[in-house]
Amino acid sequence: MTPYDIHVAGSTAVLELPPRVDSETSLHLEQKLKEVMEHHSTILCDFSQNSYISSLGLRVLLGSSKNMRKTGGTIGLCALSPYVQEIFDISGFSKIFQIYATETDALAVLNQPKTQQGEG
Amino acid sequence: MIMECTVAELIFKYLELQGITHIFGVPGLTLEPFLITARDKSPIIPILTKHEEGAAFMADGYARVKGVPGVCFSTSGPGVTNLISGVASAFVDGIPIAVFSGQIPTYTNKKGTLQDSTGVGIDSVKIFEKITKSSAMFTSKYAAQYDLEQAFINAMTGRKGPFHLSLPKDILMEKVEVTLPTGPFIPPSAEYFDRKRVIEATKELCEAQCPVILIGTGAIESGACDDIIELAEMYNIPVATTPKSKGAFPEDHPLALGVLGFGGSPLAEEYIKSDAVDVLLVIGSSLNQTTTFSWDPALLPSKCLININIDPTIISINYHPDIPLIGDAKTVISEISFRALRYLDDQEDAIQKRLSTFTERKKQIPMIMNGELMASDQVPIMPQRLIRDLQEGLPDDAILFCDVGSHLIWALHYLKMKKPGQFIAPFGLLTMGFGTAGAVGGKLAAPDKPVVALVGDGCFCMNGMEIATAVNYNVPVVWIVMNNGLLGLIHTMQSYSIGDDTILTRFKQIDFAKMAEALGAVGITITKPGELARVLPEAIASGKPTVIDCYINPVEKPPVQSFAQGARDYAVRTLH
Repeated sequence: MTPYDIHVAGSTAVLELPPRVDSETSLHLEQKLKEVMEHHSTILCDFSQNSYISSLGLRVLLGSSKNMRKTGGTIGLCALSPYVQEIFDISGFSKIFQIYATETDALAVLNQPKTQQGEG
Repeated sequence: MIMECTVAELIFKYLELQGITHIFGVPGLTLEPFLITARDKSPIIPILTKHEEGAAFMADGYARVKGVPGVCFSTSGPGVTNLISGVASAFVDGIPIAVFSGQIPTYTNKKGTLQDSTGVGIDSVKIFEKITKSSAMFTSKYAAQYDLEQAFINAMTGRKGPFHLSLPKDILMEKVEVTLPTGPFIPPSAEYFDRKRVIEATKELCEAQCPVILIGTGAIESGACDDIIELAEMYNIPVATTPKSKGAFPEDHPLALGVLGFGGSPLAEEYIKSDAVDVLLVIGSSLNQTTTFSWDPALLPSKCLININIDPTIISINYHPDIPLIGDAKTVISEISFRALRYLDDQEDAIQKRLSTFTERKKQIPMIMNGELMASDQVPIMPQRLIRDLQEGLPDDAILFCDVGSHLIWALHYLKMKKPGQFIAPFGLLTMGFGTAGAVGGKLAAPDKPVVALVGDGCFCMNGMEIATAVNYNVPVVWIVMNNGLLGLIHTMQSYSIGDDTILTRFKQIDFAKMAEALGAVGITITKPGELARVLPEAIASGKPTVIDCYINPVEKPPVQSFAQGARDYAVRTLH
């Protein structure tokens, strides 16, 4: 199974997604997100190495995002390739998730205190 | 890189580039330059078969397992005519095979030369025209590369199929300068689709009360099966497969309906024919007679038929879809799946309810008939029990070739397959003898996987000599012969109209274990229930070509009542 590179930047856990999130790897992603959610309320999914995400992968992200929201947490996404961005647009998910161009852009917002995020 | 080679060498270099490792055929005088090149200049291994039909079936089996064209060859004249059934079978099933036939030298044309196949004797190009995607003769060494590449590309794009090239002996020996491609031909993916119709189809599917998915072989060909599982699980949509694509959706999955049609699942039939189904999504199927109980109108959903097919000539041939979607199954299903995510929240309750309703329904209607016979200890062995024993002894990664007859129906009905491409049978032409020979090609294409052939005694009589081919090259296929001294499927179908005194369906039983031993294979006779489950793994592990001759109850009839009834109903509807 693809190992996930995880590092913490400020108050945010950054999870690097594998090159493909498909029917084989989606369940692993779900498990990994669960584990990270136990310790962090803000997660950034870094798509810089990812070139494909299937509908199952999107459902995993959606489910995780809903669970995070219940506990006041947030999932952000960054560095989507044009193709992956198109997938998010087609599925309507680009309206559901906060998507940032780069990890730096994302962290600048996500590491702000919650009230300021809301103002931004 | 520019290189100089003979035309025969050009052919082998090109085949080697495509990743082809073995070719199948019977030699002859006109093919000498072809064979010399195979022996002296190429790593590709030519396999001498016992009959050209066996060669074509092996090429077909090789192509289905490896995903590249299989190759068969024959000399001119009778070598050509012997290939016909095998090539026709591949054509109807859309399997890409390369057919190379020898041809007399061009300087002897039109003289009544021995085994002339230019038209003075037979005309091999014309013979193959109707059963290949392209059939031509090399007419010049300068055009040989073009002819070869065009034939190959044609065979591998759109709906796949065989090509034939007739090879004049003198042209094969001529030298030519060529520039070969640097890698194998990879068919460009067809990523076009009608966005508006995809949006409509997604809406219909996601808002349906009782949707169903039917998977055909187009889905397997495009590699869409995993995407279909994702879509089905997202919306809890029950899924059936056509007989030909058995295993494309795991048959032990909670949403599985099983095979629809010939020898198929009562659950699939009853569920899809019910009035409740409002949307039917068909993926890569022509909806032909074997799937549809002879085009039964009851299969039509009450609201919307969505049909995805790469071939616009097929998409409306049997039923008129409300939403036809021309395109590659994987591309279109991915697009539908992404769009379907938008409806998830609104449909959440309906999706959950659907699963519980379907689970209840599944408890009421079985996927098989007379399931208790799978536990029968009767002797002779009940066919249902033999299939259970086969299931127990068959490794999960095995590839099962199936021949054509009652054994095919027993397997379709009682065997549970879990992976696409794991169950291989020639459904298009239903050509007897395919599985016996095709498995040899399949094993050479996948040497690391167990390859098993389930065959009837009638089929085995047709191409059983190919055991000797497997022995000759130590290809460890395991053949399981369902031995009942009967052409079981013909007997059963005749019995519906003329009773059990059927015509030309019985013959004296043959000892196939002895026959196998005489040909150099291992022969094992099985007469009792349970033995096959024990013997099959041992036979696979032995690494030797093995024939397991199973004596089964000849009285039991395979479950084809629904298919037969469908044919009668169609006649009534059509002829009034």
